[in-house]
Amino acid sequence: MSAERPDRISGIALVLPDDAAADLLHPPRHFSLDAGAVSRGALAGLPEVARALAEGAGPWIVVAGRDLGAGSSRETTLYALRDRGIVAAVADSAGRIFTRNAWNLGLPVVEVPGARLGVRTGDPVVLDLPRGALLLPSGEEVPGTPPDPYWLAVYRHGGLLDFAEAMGRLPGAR
Amino acid sequence: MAAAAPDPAPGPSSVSSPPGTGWAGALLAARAEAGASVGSYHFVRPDLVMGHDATTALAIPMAERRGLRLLPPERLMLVGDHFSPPSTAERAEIARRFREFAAAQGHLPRLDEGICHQLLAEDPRVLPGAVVVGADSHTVTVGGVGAFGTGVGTTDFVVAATAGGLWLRLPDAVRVRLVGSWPAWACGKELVLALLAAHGPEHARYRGLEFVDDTPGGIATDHRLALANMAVEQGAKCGIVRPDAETLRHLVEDRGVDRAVAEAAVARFPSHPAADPGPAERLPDLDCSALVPRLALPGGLRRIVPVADAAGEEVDQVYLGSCSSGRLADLRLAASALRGRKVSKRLRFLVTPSSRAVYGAALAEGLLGVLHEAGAVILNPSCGPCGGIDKGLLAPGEACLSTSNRNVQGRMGSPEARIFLAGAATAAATALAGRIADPRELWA
Repeated sequence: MSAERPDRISGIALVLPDDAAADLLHPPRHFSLDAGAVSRGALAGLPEVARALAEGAGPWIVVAGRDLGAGSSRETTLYALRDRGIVAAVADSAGRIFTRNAWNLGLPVVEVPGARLGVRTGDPVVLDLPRGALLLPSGEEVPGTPPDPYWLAVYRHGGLLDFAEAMGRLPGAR
Repeated sequence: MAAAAPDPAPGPSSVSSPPGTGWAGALLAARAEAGASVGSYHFVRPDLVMGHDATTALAIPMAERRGLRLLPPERLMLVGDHFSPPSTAERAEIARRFREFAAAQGHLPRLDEGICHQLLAEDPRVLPGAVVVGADSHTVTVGGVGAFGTGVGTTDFVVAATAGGLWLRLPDAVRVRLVGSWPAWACGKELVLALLAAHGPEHARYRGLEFVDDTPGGIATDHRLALANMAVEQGAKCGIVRPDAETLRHLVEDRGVDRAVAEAAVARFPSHPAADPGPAERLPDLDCSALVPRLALPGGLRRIVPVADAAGEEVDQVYLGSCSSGRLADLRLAASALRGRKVSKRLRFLVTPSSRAVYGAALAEGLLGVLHEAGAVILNPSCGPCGGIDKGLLAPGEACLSTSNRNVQGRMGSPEARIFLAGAATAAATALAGRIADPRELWA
């Protein structure tokens, strides 16, 4: 465990509604190879949340309802969120590809059902990663699903490419 | 740069597929490397990896920074279908970089030949029981021919396309039996809408969605591809239809696969009791004879209603296409409804055959002529309007009835536009009427 990849991640809660699909987190019209243009599309389909993001400093922990990030596999969605200071996400439930993409880039996504009910945007929260629990400012702890050991390993290596390289899976990698 | 691509032959496996993981569990376990599992994830070597221009373009800096070599064309299909042809100078630049990257890696991508998922479904390597990983969520579509397909993002794609494998979990399976006779107006989308209406958009999250077709005569493969295509809209990792006599017919007659090869692939499929880990859950049978035309109201897939409930709603555009539709069976439905008729003057009717092969077959069969005479705009096979990429974008306040698979606010242009999702017959009936219309009277 390094200081940059702590098992306990502290951040400011950024509350998202139910069904915040990938196409809302980063609408397809913001697809680009230009990092600045991609970043500007963060949460563009959820204008109120985008406003809170623009007004705060982060680092942010997304606290979402059901089916976070469902749909598209476009990884630009995660590039945008990461670039804007989002470091982790918890949700009642999350889309499969979104979850993989996020972990692959070093951004944990953990299922913590009901977390959103106890949190407002701006609240300081702590994600206890190995236990899959969210700690609220009140001291209350909302239990969730502990991440699979695979995802913890990917996270601790800093993301999938570094993990795959460490596992000797990327022949010719320099 | 780099060492040769890794050995494409799958290694010996000692990974077992636990009860409940279904056909996907059996197919993935057979390609998993022994002793290489981390947690509940196994290092699985797919038979074929696919990337398209948009997601592969994002992989370029990752691959170049580490000096990675792509798998050879035998195991990696690259497709230019999103910016096809490009609609802006920026997207032309993305498409150019994609082509140059591919060329430098010994690949000649398939450009402007159609939507990647349809090209996969037409590919001789994609037989029943094949395992395909693609850098696009709708890679699940190949399940229509009994293949396992799953979508990933760019980072997973980079690993799969260079290491020749990636870490996957064996999903629990949820199985559905399809029964009853097939209505003449129906298409695969109607099955999806019926499932969404009954179970919602999350019921198969992280699971393998598996279908057994016990209808008399069997549902046509084009409709099965549409059924598998929207497994991802139910949260699933894959959607697989058990290969059967219709699959065999399709492979031999429609795709020209050698009969012995096709028979062997169907026979090898792990649906016989000795090989089938079985499902973790069985859903109630889906009775096709009880289908009614349905649509998804704008803004997600939680509100599915009978078309009759939304009938009369004016729309500005009808779009028949995407990887979810636009196959020959869909074009036949539309043409049979529109033959000798004219679509409403108050809307745009856009039709995208899903591949060049489909376009050619529809041309030869006279379907495109019928649609042209009816007033359709025939677009080239590509992703086009579905993701608001090019053509048919919507203005604020406009409404579109689309046979595509996503209707999230803003997906096809303005966030203030509304997208209804429905089947091909409803699209044709709506194009005729200029407002949402129940198609059944056209088949009465």
